[in-house]
Amino acid sequence: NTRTPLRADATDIKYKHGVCEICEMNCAFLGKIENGRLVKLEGKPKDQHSRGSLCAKGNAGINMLYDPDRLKYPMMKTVPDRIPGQDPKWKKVSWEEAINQAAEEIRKAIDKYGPQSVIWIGHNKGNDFLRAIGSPNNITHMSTCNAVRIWATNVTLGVANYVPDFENSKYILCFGWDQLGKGKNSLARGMIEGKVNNNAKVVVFDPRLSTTASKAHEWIPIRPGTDLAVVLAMLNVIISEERYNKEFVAKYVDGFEKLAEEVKKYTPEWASRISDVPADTIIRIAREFSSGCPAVIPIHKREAIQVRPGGFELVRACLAMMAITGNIERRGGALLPRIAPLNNPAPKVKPPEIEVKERVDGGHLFPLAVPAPLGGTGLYQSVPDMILKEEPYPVKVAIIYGQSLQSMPQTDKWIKALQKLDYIININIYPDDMATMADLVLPESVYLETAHISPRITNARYPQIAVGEPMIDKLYDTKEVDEIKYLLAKKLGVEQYMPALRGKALLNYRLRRYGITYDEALKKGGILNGSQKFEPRDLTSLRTESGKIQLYSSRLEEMGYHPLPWFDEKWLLHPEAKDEFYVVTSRPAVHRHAKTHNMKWLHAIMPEGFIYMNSTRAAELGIKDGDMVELTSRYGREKGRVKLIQGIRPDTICILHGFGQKSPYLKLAQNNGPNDSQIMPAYPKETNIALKDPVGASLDCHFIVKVRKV
Amino acid sequence: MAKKRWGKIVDLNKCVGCHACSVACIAENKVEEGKYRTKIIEHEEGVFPNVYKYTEKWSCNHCQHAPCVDACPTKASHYTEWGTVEVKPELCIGCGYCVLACPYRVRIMNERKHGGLPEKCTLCVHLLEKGKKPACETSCIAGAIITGDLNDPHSEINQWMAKGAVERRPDLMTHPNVFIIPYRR
Repeated sequence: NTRTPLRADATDIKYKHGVCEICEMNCAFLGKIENGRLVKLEGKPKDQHSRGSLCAKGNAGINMLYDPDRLKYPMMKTVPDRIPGQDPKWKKVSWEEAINQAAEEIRKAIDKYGPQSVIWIGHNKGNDFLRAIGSPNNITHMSTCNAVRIWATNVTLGVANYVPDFENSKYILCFGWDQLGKGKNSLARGMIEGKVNNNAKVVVFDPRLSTTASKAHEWIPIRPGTDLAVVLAMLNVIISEERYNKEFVAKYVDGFEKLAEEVKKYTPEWASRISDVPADTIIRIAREFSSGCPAVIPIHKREAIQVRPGGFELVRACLAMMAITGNIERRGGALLPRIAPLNNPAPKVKPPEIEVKERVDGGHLFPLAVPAPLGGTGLYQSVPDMILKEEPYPVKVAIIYGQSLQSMPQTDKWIKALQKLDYIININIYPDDMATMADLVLPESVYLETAHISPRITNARYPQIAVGEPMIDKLYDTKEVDEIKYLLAKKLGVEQYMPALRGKALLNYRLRRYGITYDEALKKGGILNGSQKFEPRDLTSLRTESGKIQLYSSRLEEMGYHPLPWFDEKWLLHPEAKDEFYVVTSRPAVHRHAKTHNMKWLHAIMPEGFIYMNSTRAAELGIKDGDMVELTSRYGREKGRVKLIQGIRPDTICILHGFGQKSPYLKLAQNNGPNDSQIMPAYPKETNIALKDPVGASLDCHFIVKVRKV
Repeated sequence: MAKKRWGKIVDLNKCVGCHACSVACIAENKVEEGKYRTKIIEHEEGVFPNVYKYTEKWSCNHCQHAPCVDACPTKASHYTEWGTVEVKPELCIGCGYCVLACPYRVRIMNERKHGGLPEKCTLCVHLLEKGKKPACETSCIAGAIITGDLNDPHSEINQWMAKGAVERRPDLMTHPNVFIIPYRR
């Protein structure tokens, strides 16, 4: 053998089944453990989501596990003020002390101000705990994320999501959709296969030449915030030229005539004036899309086009376009999700009805987004105002889980609101800005230290469950969020209202309907397949008002909203002064929101976020590549470095999301660039109501900034 | 059986520049922090609105006429019997001539391992020998990479060759075993 490898051969190598929790795709992998240390994560070819690959973030997962900066034990803040990034003079405490303290603070708030004064902010895992203590305030992150998609798809198709069947598509039309640039594993592979192997035509509308746009046959640099106008005009063309699928519409679509009437006024010429897209182009693409070939418009989440006033209508209009061309539940079009169900354990005793129905986020005013006290996606962005004004009642304790300050729109307002609270409990992996503001920090275990069963709800093309085991023993004195909630409930004496099953018994219970135990599932390779054959579902028994695809919604009309997709020119913004720009946001392929910035391999590739700007326009303003600029919007101010490119509209800048960490305890991520949330609006509920968006206008990613060189 | 000639093709029409290959390579080959055996290079050309951009996975091309092998004073850099270029650490004196000689600038000097020796992509031959795929190919989220035996006319890599794979910088006359399918607008 002439080859002498530059690597020491490990003696003891083991592989274990895992499920990636970096993003919601939950790709399955095998973890390679050398001499007790996890060294490599490898995708499983049997996994239909990852198809054996893992993205940069997934590959770097072990960085999070072995990150020396991780939270290692519970800690209490010993200085009174809450300033992000400032030394909280942490004191190490035991779990017992921590839970006692947290429960005491919660008890104090409940006794004096009622259970509604305790709120949960962040990932949607607080429901059972809130129900147990009787608070309606489950403030999920979803209204900054996927709420628009969930409710628009729910109204139209009766499900929370649809799956773009890229591989079999012949026409892929994207509005600001850039999952290739974000490195979304399963979506990227499908899209590339559709384009390269199935010769699908790809058309991308985006103010910036995104990675997806760079792979498209056609990139159309549309004016930011006007995609909806273009889709409505395309509906106009398809209907007025009778290019829709008459048979499909007659059988499966409800409200077509009303839609046809509504879109008459949205002519290509009208849309062209608004969007800068030539009317000919709109007509041509509408004709191509409706030529009869399998065609799809993908929608994801937290995209600037969708998370804004009118975003709800945009998703509905896109669904309408696929519906009238017969591309719903058709190969190469939009498929209903195929999710494998899991058993969810119930509590021993049914918790009493929640007395206070009114939510602190004003969610009850948006019955679509918040159908029940604890249900729904909430209105994250109206919370800071309500806390500051103590409306409708004072909030005293917040449990913050999986939410970073970098994801809180109008960050300064949020900081003020958080400073007003009596007590903040933060369940976190990292000592980030949020942790430095909390009175009590409870360290969460990393996903590589815990067991998982994931039904993979996002992009569910096939019902397939992934099962994973802990890769190694817990490195530090950390706990899983479910256990933390249970301990808190127990200390408060309400644990009978929480599901009692824990550990392996819970894992086995969740899989019981498949006649398999957790251990057996692991022995079988950690992947449980449902039916792989594509059998089209019946489109006359959907969970919509008519059972069919619902274009005209009487439910929305009853709630006082527009029953059809519509356009309001009041939603449009226009930069006027020489230094004013539209803003769009995007995410890099190597980072997931604000969660991965201290992972060393990812940090090395992208240590700092930046602002994309058109180089010709920048030259006019005397801005050079790499210059620091100050961005000022009506909502805040932030500094960042510019990266000059030609692939963006001269009137638009693009900020990468998730950066702007200040905490000195994250040695790599500290001072990593501009925080886009700082300059984004967090509207009070009155503004949300005025915007006439049934999801509460969600987070508004559409705004104007002034750019000044500093 | 005919001798193997390992090669690789990267399809730039598929590459999305997500860096999965870079990170997978670091994990598999325990590459030093901040250094890359394979990395992503971004290209943007044109003037708005007629702009195009593409990304390119950039790593050792395993040249059949390799300037790094020519430059090595101790024959540590050598051709293997399966067509790749590798370094024998026991012969290497760490002079760094190969790093300078490589026209593709893909060799890196590590500081930790063996007291400062050059390293680079090995095509993950240690995995290929076991019938596995290199770390970069396994991880590629776009399916843009294929590795295989160029001497086997039935191999998948030779089907990709027929799709218009070309050498990088043929003017350098290095005759690489790693090819690209160029980005088509």
